[in-house]
Amino acid sequence: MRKGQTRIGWLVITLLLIFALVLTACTIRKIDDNADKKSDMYATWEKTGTGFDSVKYVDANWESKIIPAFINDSTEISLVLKGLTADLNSAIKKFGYRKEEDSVETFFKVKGLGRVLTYNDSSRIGLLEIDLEPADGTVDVFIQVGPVLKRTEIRDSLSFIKFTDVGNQLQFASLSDELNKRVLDYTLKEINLPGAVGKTIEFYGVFSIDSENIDMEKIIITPVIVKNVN
Amino acid sequence: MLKKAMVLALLLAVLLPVTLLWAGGEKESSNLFVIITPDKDNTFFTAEANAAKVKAESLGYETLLMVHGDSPQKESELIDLAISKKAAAIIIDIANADASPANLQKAKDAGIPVACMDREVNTAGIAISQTISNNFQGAKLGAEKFVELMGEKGNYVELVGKESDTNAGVRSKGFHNIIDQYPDIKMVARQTANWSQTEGYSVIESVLQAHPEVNGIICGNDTMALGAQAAIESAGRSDIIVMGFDGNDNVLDSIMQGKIDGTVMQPNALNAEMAVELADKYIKTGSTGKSEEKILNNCFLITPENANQWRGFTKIK
Repeated sequence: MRKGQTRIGWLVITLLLIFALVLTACTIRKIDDNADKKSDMYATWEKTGTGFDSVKYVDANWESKIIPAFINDSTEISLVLKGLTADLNSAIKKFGYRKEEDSVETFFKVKGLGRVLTYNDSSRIGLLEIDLEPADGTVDVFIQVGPVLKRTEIRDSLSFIKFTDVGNQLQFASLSDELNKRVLDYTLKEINLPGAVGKTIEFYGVFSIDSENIDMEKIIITPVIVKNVN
Repeated sequence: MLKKAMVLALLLAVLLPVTLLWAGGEKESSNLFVIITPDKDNTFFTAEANAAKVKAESLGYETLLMVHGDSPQKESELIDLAISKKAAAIIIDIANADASPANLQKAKDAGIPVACMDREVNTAGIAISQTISNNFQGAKLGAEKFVELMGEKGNYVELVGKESDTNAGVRSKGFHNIIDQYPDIKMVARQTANWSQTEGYSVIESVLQAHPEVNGIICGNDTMALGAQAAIESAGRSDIIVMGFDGNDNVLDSIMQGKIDGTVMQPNALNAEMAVELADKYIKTGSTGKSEEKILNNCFLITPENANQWRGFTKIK
């Protein structure tokens, strides 16, 4: 009887020791309740493995999301320009988009009608010089038409594109390159640039300003839609 | 005797897990911000460490500054040290994009928020925030100016940074993203100078002998640009465009003296200050208040016109 009790006692102790050892091997972690949300967020992107495929992404979104964003959200450019001259800060609030509230760079999605005064191809960053309606014969804005497109304004003006979702800097840059490439391959392909001089065009696009260093004489628009009106 | 041993063992069995639970559970953290950067000889990293320190102390924290020398092993030890000191937060410029996430995970598991600055971690969800200079945007900005200064034609050399540093590759890709669109600009040499001024000097010295037709040098960082500029001067040349990257004070001086033609200013101090502010906010509210973990801060183009507006990687107010 006494011997049996001892045996049971040791058994209990052994079990407890095993329990203790098992616990030692455990780390206590909080369950990540954001895990589902994160995978959902990524699921909205066309991802191949860990790499982001910018071509696939733009293929999937150019017609369905990107073009509509410009058609729906663009403000008449003359209104934006007037606003910026009259009261910079309230125009930024009213018409502009910023990635972060305190950033100096603001993006304006704009649309307008204007006459092409000249096609300046002295640099590979070719420019159309535009006299906005109502026409007065002077250049109001520029539209960059390639073959080199500067800047990343299309990518940066779209609120649904988030850097963290896309991945690293290179992937993020490749997305902008691909968006700009669409502008060259689709938007501008149909336009006879030298032939556009003297004609009126309708455009949708984006320009950005650095609120600490603004040059109203040199507003350059990256186009997303360009149409010959006559 | 046997009974005593039994009781002792029983006590041990019960107490061991309890002790472990207590040790691993809620613990009181200190008021300490541990700031870890790569190097204490490079002005870029000292400026970064100092900006973080000043910001943290202004918010009432104590600070401890340490460097990992680009070694993931050393970084791992420093993180263990920060954990043992029960740091309130770790502000870090990581050692290596592949190896560092595992190191940072240890801090996260210990309940210490980690805010990254400058170098990017590819794994999302470990750091509470990553405040990063937009190197690609900066490189494009520098290359655009470089192309313009060269009149969209000519022959150039590219000096590349240390291959193991992601930013060397990112910047190089950014340069080519722009320059390769200009068929009249030809690259006659592309060599690494490992971020080093002396290597920059010797590489350019020999390249200029072999290719006197070179009229532009674009550099992955400012120290290599300083070396290149010195080699140009000792070769008696003054017709070569030099573009740097970083915005360090020596290069700003060189630009103002009309030697180096331009550089790209990294918002280095801003990245560090933001990292500290976000960590502080996270400690106080449980969130950084930002919609994204990665925050890209844009770089600025520096030319003779605005070189006097910056000092210590900060815009003079």
